[in-house]
Amino acid sequence: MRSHIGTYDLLNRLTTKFEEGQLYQGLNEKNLTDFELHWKPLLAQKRQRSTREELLTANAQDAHWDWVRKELAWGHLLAYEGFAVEAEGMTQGLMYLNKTRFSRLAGQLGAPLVYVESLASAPWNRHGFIGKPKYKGVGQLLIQAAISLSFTEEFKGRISLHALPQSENWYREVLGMIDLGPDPDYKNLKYFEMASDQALRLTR
Amino acid sequence: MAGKRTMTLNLTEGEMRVLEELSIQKDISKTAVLRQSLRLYQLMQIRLSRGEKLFFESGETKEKSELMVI
Repeated sequence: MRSHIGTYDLLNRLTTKFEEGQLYQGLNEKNLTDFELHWKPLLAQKRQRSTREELLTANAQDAHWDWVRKELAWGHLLAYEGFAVEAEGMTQGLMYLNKTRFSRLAGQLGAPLVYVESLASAPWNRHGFIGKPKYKGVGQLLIQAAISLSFTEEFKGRISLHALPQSENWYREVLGMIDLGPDPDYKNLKYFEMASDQALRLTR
Repeated sequence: MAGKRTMTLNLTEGEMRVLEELSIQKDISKTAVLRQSLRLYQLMQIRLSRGEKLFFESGETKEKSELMVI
């Protein structure tokens, strides 16, 4: 079931004005239709015309993700939570979280955390994908939702994820997540964790 | 989060002891332990119902051992 979490400011870079973004827990038919009709054609086109390197600079390494399949696989399971950000009547961001993972970080090893399975902002919000990306703050809002869920679940704000190379810097430099290096069990993608103290700092 | 319902749970002393131990180890309430258990049990049940098997792998030796679940 979908629930409205709240209304948050998103910066429209094109107008330099803040606009209201709606955060929802649970994906609905509209989110999936927006993905199919508006996100997917752009991502598919980019994927078709780009080399691996070009996909990296276009922030489009998730071009093969199918959110409809993710919803079908995870939407009915207690372990997972989907989130969506909407603005201007359009889905601007999507995320799926897993609540059954444990920390690998020394000092909190084995502690439960919220694992970010997938997180994506709409293609038109991405630097590199188009000349003038639209909304700023969609990814940050979704990460805040992951941290918030972690607190609600009594996981003290701990979250983790495997980052696509295009996003590594953002997780490390902007969010201050701890880089535990490439994970040989997960396509060698770098594994990141956010400890409780950093989560608290980010949510203050 | 969806609306919550309350139920009374009868556990043996041993079951309660394990629940309390897990609650302390994981630093979450007993309710949160039970929620986690339910999530994991559902995941496991779905995978097993597809005919898949559940394994644990040793981090050091990479040796796999099947967890027998009926």
